[in-house]
Amino acid sequence: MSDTTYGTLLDRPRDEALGAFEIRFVPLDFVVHWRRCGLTADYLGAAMAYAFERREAAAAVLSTVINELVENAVKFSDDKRTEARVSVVHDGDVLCVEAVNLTDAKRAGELHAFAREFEHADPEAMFLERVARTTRPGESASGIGLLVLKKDYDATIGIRVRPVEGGRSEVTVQAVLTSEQVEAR
Amino acid sequence: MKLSLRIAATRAEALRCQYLIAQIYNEEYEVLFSDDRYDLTAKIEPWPHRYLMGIIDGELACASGLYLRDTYVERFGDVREGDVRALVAEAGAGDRYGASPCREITKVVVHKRWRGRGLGRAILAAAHTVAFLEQQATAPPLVVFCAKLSIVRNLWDAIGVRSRTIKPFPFYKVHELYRTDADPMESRLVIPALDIPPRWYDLAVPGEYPLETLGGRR
Amino acid sequence: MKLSGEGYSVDGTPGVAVVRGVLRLESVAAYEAIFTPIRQEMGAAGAYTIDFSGVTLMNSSGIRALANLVLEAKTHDWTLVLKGTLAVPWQRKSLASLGALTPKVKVEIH
Repeated sequence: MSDTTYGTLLDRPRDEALGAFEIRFVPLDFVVHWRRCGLTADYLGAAMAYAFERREAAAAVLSTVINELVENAVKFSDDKRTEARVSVVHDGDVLCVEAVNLTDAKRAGELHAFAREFEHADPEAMFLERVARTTRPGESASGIGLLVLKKDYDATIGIRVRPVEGGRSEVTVQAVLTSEQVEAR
Repeated sequence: MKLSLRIAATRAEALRCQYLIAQIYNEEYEVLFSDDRYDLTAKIEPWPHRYLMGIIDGELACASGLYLRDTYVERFGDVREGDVRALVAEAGAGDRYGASPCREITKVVVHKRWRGRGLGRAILAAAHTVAFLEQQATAPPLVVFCAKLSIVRNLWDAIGVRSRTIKPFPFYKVHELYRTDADPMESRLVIPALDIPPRWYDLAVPGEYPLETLGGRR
Repeated sequence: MKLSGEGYSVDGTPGVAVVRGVLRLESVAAYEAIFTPIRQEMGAAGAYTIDFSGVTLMNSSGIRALANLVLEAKTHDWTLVLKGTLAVPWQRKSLASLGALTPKVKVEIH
């Protein structure tokens, strides 16, 4: 099987970046202490915010975006001991937050189904539809985080599912923001 | 194959046990843990107070937790002190255990790589030792646990530890991937002097034992 | 009503709950610790206000839990006011959008 990409994934050389951070983490660490998700997001957001004029707003927006991607990577890693990573790359024009984790066939299948709809859907309508689902017992309505980033923060979301050994998949999720979006203007 | 047993004594050892428990409980039951709160509806559980380690070739292969106080069955199982005392009196053990506190064996886990060798029974047997159960106790404690009935049969019954039904365990969302209607959970009581075979109760911990002597397989 | 967890607090007076801090709980279900007491008061009050102005960050599990509360207000015909501030991005963006779920819920972002 080959890679499947939904939306657009940015692939700019990091050596041209104005700023770049990457944190590799073991999802199990964040399962044991959930607040590490937020702590990681706050750190990366605050560190990157120095590049922006409206620093306080930028730190809040970046922390929010990074936190969603980190929480997703933790929740959807199948083997919580397999390392995942989150990176933030700023090249002046845009800032790209990327999370990568491994997952199993079941979760990858669910992600494909979500991403197919997400790629072309009106985020507001899809959000309302998904939220309504949560009121029905047994339905989880996952994907709300990415919908929130798309509809409320105008983030450009790209998702890639790449089959790897053992029937597992490497999942890459990117959220790309312009400076205006980072500064919540 | 030999299983080395010891009580986690350092922060590093306790962490290794916590991470093994967290991995299994999260991957299989979507449970998270917290140092300072619990919420069974949100699948957030409290950490045990003590841990027993089962080590093979230097690797933590299995573990058991122990609540020294504030047991799960008392906090969430609607078990009152009177329920326990009535069972103790009924068993004729009121003199010895009249005012004993309850401790709880909990979070018995086996690393995925080491499954199918009877390690669950081995670590559970070792959890019923004086060394593990009575650490820092001022009086011999009673032992409680909660489990689904298939686990009671396959683990407790299989190692010869008698357990007495206290009451059915209420349904919580945290157990939705664990219990079924056909395999409900119960809170159970073990009265050590009456219910734990001496070969387990008096087993020396720390110690290293051939797996088959602990109810496991070669 | 008064409750708190690490990083957040809720202070309630009749008809009003003021939430402060950072809300990044583990799941939608984890937010029940906050929203169940609020829901109980909402049912008893004629109109109810939740002031989120002091909540600097909230994750999507919180937004989803809050959306559930809004839908519940709609179902029971409760009058609910959600207050926020323009200075905090998630409030200006996500909190404001929850008003679209039902006209019974008023969102005031100042």
